[in-house]
Amino acid sequence: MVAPNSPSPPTETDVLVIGSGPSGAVVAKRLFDAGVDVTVLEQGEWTDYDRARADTPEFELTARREWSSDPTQRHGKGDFPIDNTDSEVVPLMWNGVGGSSTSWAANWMRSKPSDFRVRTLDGVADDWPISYFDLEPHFRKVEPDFAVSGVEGDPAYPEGYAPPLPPVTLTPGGRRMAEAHNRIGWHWWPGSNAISTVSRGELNPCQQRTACMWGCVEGAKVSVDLTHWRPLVAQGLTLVSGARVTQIQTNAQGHATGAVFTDSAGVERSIAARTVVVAANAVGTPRLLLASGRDGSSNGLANSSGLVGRRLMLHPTAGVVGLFDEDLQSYRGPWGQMAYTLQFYETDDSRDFVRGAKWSLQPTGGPLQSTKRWPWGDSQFWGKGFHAELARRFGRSLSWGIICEDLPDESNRVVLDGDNPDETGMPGVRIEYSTSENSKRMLRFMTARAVESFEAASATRTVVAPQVRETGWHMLGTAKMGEDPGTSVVNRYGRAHDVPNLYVVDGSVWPTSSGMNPTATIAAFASWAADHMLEDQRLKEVPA
Amino acid sequence: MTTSDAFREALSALTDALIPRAGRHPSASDVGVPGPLLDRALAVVPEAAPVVETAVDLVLAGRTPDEALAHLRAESRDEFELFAEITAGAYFMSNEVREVIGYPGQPQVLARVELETLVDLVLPVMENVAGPRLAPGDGPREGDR
Repeated sequence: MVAPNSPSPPTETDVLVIGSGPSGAVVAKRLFDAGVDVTVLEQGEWTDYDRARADTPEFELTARREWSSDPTQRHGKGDFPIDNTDSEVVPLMWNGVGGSSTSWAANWMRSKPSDFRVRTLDGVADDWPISYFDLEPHFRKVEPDFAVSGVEGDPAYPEGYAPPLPPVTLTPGGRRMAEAHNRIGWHWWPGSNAISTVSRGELNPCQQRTACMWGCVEGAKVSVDLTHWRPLVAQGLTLVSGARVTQIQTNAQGHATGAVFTDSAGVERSIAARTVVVAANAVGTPRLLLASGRDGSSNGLANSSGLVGRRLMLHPTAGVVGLFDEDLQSYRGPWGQMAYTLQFYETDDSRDFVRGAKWSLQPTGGPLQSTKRWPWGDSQFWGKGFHAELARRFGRSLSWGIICEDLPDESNRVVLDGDNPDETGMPGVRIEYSTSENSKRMLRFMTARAVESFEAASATRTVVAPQVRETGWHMLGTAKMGEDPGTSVVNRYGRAHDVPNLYVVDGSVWPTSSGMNPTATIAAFASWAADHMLEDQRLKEVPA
Repeated sequence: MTTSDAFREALSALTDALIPRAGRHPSASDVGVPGPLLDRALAVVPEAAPVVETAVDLVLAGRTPDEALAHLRAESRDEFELFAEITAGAYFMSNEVREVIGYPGQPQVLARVELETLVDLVLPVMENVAGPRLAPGDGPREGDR
């Protein structure tokens, strides 16, 4: 698949979108379709899907290397220095056209209504200034674009949630767990995924290559470079790749006037804009805002609250594997999720923690993955016991991936690291993050319940995966949304309190993290914010 | 990578120590891991070449394969795991091995399931009044759009 040519960047635009992940894609599409002049700057490059290898014997050896979500391991063109030595969890992201939708597992999980009201319900953290029902029309707007497949009617959600496409296969393993949960009265539901099950636009139906996070050779797993950017660029939208924005510029009145960026040839350029939209994830967004402080201010841009970079939430994650006598062909299936459970999602006062977790049922991969330390632990099975243990694991195992809600803590943060600049001289970042006691208790509880779940399905053995640091797929909270400028960075539409024509639309704005994979709600919020931008007169004002 | 007889012989012994022959399961050297398969694996994981040479050098210096692997593991678990991974990765590329373990690779198998096949499974979830529903007060609030 040939990447579009990166155009010469314009010198001015109406709306500048910084970042090309799902939130940037939703905003750009909405505005472009409405006739607004939009320019997108993306620090990384287009993904070459010819390097996807799920249809070759080399697949397992290459999967977690070339397609690694860890920028400190991948060292891709769009990556920048991240010091994560002081973080118990390593942030994971894909810095390229499509953002982390290139490497995500495509779980599509709307936040629940309670996720927006955690303070009211459980007395912790904060309520969002918007509700599930504010975003509900926007979930419905974006879900067709994200080719969401699944089954209508999950009683854990309000009525009316109907994924537009038929679900991916439940698989023999999924059926096994569904029957078990029905026996013990635990919730489960067929997986909802941004994985197409039909031919649709740029997408093809899923063929269970089980390579969702490592290059979908079928073009079935949604990544917004395929679903949004290619069609938009073909229609004339300007997306400049290899363009690292190093500063958002403002005038004496405190309005954003555009940005300075370094292009793919290393030349510093600038672009004027009437409105600036930042969609660079909860690590990239605070990096840019903090680096954009006026007159060298160390406080950064849009940061009178002092919260830019703070309240980083990373969803503590655990894995539990169940082994079965039967051949479940568990090297095959959406990865992705075959099914999910919200049995332990809400707060229960009988437990020693608040909030809860969502579990996704996943395959366990090919034979090489069956030999790895994660999730199998440090067992000594090489040599004499190799073939017997491989036979027990390979194809006969299932995995619960557990995502715990992460409560906000101002000491968890992204800070600029001037000692580690990137090639443009822009500071890198340092991550400071500790797992809370609430999270630790929740992880213990959830892994114990996941063991029970597999035992109910007659698993012959269960394995609790070792805790690893490389689980920070969901980065949230570092430009908090709220009505009070003293305690938030942006308002309910993502507009910065301090800079009236600056918006943040990615997961940075989340006041709480939910226990769900966040992309669905990130996309819905971006849609909500984009509609507000279209109503906002400032789109038409010329900065002084 | 060097292809001397001594090197290949040591490499065979090392890979067989990790993946020996057992019943109908071939050993690593039975399927040619120390030869073309490993070369293919190293073509996509070139960073493993030094650790392969390190492991072989330990055997050529007089250690048994088990001693060499134990030493490698004690000195650097990451290096041991990389050597094990490249060996197993090459092994599982063998058609013979794939046949024995029943792994067809990742062929195309259409993923869509028709809803009627799920009805009997999801009905109990919908009827389970004790299951997770909305939290108290989770309906639309006055003023919500």
